[in-house]
Amino acid sequence: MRRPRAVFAASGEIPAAVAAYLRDRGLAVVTTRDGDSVVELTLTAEPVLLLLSACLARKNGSQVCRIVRQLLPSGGPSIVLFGVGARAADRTWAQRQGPDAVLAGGCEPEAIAALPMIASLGPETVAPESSHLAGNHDSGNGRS
Amino acid sequence: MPVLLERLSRPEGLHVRFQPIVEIDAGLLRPHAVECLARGPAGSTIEAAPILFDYVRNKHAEALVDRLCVTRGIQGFGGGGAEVAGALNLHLNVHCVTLARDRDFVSFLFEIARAGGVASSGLTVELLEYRAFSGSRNLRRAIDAIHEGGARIALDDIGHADSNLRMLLESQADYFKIDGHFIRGVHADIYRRALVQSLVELAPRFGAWVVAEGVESLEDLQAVTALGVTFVQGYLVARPVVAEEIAHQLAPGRWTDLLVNENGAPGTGAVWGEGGDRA
Repeated sequence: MRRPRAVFAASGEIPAAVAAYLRDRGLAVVTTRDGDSVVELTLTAEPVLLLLSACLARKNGSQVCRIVRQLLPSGGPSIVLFGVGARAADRTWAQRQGPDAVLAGGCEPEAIAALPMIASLGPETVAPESSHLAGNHDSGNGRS
Repeated sequence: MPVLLERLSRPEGLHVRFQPIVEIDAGLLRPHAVECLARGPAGSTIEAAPILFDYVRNKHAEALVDRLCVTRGIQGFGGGGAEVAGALNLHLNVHCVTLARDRDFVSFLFEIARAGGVASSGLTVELLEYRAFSGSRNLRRAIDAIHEGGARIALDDIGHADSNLRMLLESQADYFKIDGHFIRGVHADIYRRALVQSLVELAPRFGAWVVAEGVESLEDLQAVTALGVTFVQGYLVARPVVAEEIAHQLAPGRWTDLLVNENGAPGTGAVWGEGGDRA
């Protein structure tokens, strides 16, 4: 069985604590810096979780969310949009794109740990024979 | 510098209006954004927008005037107060030639917004005149910078003149704005309806939302609503207003009186909310 994957997309590096937290939850972490890559990865790598900055090059996080929900109306990954603007209008806009959660601030371990769809992921989702495959993907598939 | 361009640079030279872009939500209208529309000096030969921008393009002064327009637009919008800036987005028209050749434009835009108290997340750059810049690496960089800065992109005038399908691919637009030519009369034209419907179906696959421009009759408003268009703009809904009147767009009751029910049937028939007018 393949190790379940999370895609982290932002213009900067993934915070080390977030990467560690996700790995502890049994997820292989793939990083990228643009929205087009996220859409492609979603279709090819079948991640269970997308952590998307709202401010991405190419397609931004909101657009990626809307596209993924269109392409995979059921059974798609959980999606967390972070870095959403502080205005109420920004939050409303982000939510209408169909994410499972919206974070106004950055992607911090404490914030994502509080999200039910992430907290419910656990090491039991990892198949024993999958560790080698997972290691090949931890360093990222994108430009980071 | 030509006299008219110099005149545009003066405080009284270029003036702006703001036309609401309105969301259709479960049969009700809600203000979503305002588009900044520029006019030339009052009483001058370039007062009307089409003549103004023909002149600007003829003088290859797009970047200069785009900088003036976004500055005046942001200052006017920001001057509407925190309530306006917090609730509405601001759409700013920018020529693709500006984005392709003025490499500091995007940082200039964000700096002006910061100074004017307008969040970058509340900005949308509407791309104009993009035919000659399809495939431009500089344009692509600017588009990326706009998105990375948290602002959105709209592809203006879709279907009109030099617009093309290639820009649907390249613009990374958050909004597809369908030119009014395809909206006026849509209620009675099966081919216009087919075009609008196809864009409504296409938009989410690009991560975009559709704006119908040039909505000028209740029948057309009902037609685009029934076709699934999310946002509308046009004289029927609201004419451009001066900055001081933007806050009025948020007045309680202004948009509650309208529109169509979920089946696309007429509501009260009154296009304006209470106290509204067709100024």
